[in-house]
Amino acid sequence: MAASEPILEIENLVKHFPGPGGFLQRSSVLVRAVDGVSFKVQEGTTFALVGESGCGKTTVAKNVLLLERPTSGSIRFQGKEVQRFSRRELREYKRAVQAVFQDPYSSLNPRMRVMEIIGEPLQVHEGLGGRALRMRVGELLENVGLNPVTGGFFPHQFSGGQRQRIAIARALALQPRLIVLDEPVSGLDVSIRAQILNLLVELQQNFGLSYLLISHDLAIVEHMSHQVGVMYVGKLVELAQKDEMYGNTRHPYTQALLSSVPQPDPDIPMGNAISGEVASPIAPPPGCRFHPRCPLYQETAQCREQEPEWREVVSQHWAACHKI
Amino acid sequence: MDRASGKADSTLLRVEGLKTYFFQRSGVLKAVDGVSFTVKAGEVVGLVGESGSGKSMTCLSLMRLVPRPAARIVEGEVWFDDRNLLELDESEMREYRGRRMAMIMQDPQTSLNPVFMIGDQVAEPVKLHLKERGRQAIERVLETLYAVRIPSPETRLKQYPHQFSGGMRQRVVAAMGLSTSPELLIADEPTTSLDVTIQAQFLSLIRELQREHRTSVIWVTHDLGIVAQMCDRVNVMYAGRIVESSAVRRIYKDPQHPYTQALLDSVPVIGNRRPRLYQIDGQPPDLRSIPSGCPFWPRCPSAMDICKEQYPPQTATGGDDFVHCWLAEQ
Amino acid sequence: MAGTGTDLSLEPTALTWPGRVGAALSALRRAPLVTSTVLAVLLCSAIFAPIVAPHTPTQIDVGNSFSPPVWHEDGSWSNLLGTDKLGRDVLSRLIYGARVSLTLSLLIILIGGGSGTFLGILSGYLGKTADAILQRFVELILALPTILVALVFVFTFGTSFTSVMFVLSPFLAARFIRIIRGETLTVRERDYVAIAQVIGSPTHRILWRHILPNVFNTVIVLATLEVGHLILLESSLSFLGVGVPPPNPAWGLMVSDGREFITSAYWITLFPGLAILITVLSLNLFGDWLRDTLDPRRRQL
Repeated sequence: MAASEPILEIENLVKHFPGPGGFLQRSSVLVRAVDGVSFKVQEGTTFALVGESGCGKTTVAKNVLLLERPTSGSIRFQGKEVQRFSRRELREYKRAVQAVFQDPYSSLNPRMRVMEIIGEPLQVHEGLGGRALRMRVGELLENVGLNPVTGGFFPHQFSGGQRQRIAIARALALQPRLIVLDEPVSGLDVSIRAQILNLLVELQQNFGLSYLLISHDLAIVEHMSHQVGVMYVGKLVELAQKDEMYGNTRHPYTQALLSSVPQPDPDIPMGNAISGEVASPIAPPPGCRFHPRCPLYQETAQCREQEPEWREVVSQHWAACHKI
Repeated sequence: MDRASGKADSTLLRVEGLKTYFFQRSGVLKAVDGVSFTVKAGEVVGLVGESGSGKSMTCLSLMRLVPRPAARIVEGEVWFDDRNLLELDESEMREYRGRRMAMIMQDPQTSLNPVFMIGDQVAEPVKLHLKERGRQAIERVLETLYAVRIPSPETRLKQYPHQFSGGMRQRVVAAMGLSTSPELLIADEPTTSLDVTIQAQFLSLIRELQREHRTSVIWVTHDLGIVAQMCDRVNVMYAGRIVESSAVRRIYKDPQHPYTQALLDSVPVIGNRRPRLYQIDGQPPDLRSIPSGCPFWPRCPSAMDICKEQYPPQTATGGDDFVHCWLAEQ
Repeated sequence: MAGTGTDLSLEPTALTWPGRVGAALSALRRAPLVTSTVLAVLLCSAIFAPIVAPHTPTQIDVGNSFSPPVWHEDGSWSNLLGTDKLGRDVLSRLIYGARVSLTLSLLIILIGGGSGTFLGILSGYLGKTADAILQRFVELILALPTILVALVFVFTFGTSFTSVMFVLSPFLAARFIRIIRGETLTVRERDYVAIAQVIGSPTHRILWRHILPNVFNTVIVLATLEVGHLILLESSLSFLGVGVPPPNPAWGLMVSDGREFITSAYWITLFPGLAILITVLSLNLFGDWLRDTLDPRRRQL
């Protein structure tokens, strides 16, 4: 693993939204989508954020992509604070950080040809046009395993997997350093997923890309990532190198997630499902947010009232739990 | 077989040569193209395939809920007990649909009507099919809501769908299906929109209820993990046909069809690290122009000349298992 | 086959009557020739009215009033479609009326619809204060009774073609803003818009390349629907005497003029009515065709 400099550092990121308000009145509740999250993405590696819906993983991604402004906390890119970027630095950031989203149908404008879709970043940043643009788009299409002649087609002429390749080609156009992958294969068929996952791994090796992978699928995360952070209701509950995370799982929530995955082997039965529902980020439980569902919880006031400390339980392995 | 029972072998549902086509301006789309399989009493049968493999359309055909006039069942027989469902008239069919066979759809958001209370919606099939009224119907509804582990069902009865979480809503849908104690339950990817831990709860709930009532289940999914955990028998579908049918254990240990093999190899599995996943190249076929011969040959690693010309016949591979592949034929 | 009910035959079902009409309409939709010819003829006769029209539309000839169309026994070749109660030639009035009705409604669509689309997109995309202010403005306009405002406006500024245009355009714009804003809100949530923001595309580029083409369907549909509405509105205004000033002919005005004689002299109302029907229908079909042609997903069907 090429663990060198961190390319992206998130420190104590908080994002609160106003909750659903009533008619003509300001809402009094707060949705605590992200509530103090810190991690680092090392250059050339994949950092995965895992969790169930509503845990805030996508909100983290949106903050990194500047689609939303954090309530507080800092995002540093190559050592510099994103909030304090100059106009020029911001422009550079928008070249260096790209994204691939989940839904290959919603991520391509149906009214544009593939050529224009992949060419858009090149036009915006490099003013490329005409032959030079066509050449470059052709190259990018080849990079993702599509025939360059398809540049003249419209998105609806492609299947889901091919569309995702086009989305990846667009993300590669400006030779980025970091790509945010938000559930890049969950919209795809099983037999197509492997194609896209393999392509992403290949591109990472060829271009030295860093990935911030957002996923709910623990098997895909294990396959793709170098470091893993597990989120529950706006907070990280565990963070470690992949081998450590899967080999030496410490947090009861991560353990529950792992045992909930139905294994494609009838001889490995599913573990006991944990009870209850994912807590609401509007009114998260006091103390440890996981305690109402935690199999280790034994009516102790500590779990119920005191927020567990984020600490290094083993070297390079952090978790937030009173019971570890 | 997991279940020890004398009656375990009696066939509840037998599908023969089912074909459902869509008639479009651009041509005939063969969504289901000659599907045959059986479901025994108390058995959980999986229909596995990718989108466009025809698994959902097969289920809709069994219920005779094919979207008309776009699509039509053009051929085949569906024997439920001793009646061919395709020959019944609509009023007879209603006796089966909802009463003896029920369906859970993929999306709990749209399966429930947002303007009616949960209790009334679950009571609907009870009133319609069991002709129960008033106190009796409410009792039955409470019973089913309790059975699907909905906490404090008495208060939940008077609530609306938006007051339920996704997992709870899917339980309500299951309760609606199960309230008439049907003999066959068709579950069309009921957990795709659920979170992992909630999916695990739902799967074990259905498994438990199924064992208790010895309901037969057709479980439609693309997730090989769910199949391994839920099913007794698996039918793998590709391009509107069943390409392999086998007892669940066998399909994971000794898959016969190259497509099944490839599917198993292409999925990342926790604890089984590979630098690179096996990848099935190409795309699933366009159902308007399915390749001649075996539809999988353009993507098949071991395709032979004969595969391009003729669809492989059914080859028995022991027990009730069969496969459609020229490799097995040799 | 043993188990084949009526369900299972392969032949396509025979077309029923409504089915046939539908098929004919969809054929028209795919062939813009017919509808565009109709529209072209209407526009040409509007533009070249002085040359095409057999009579002066305002020429009164009381001696020749209520003369029926040519195919009636006592009809004459000099008044092909008959005359009205003042003996004015219906055909000539129809042709001059096209000038007023068509150009008026098309101009209003262009001005009101165009600005409405622009503001609707801005309102939906930018949100926040701009959106709030615009929406209050829209609510204000939609709450006003169109006819009453038109009356006041016209009494202040005098009846003329331009005052009708100025008073109706904001009403149309308000309807466009309302609906296009809603469309923009959905399109704005699409991932390709988010990606364009991630890339750093300037706002005007996002509006022009990503939002506008994807709300254009709605603009077209709305525009074609509103033409009919506008022609009818013009007729109400004309009826109240604040529309196009008489004796200038306008279709709506002609319909309302002939209303009292509908049993004795049907032609006075029928022909302008037909003209409105054909125009609105052609515009709708043409709009459908335009929408399909502009949508790459439907283009090769």
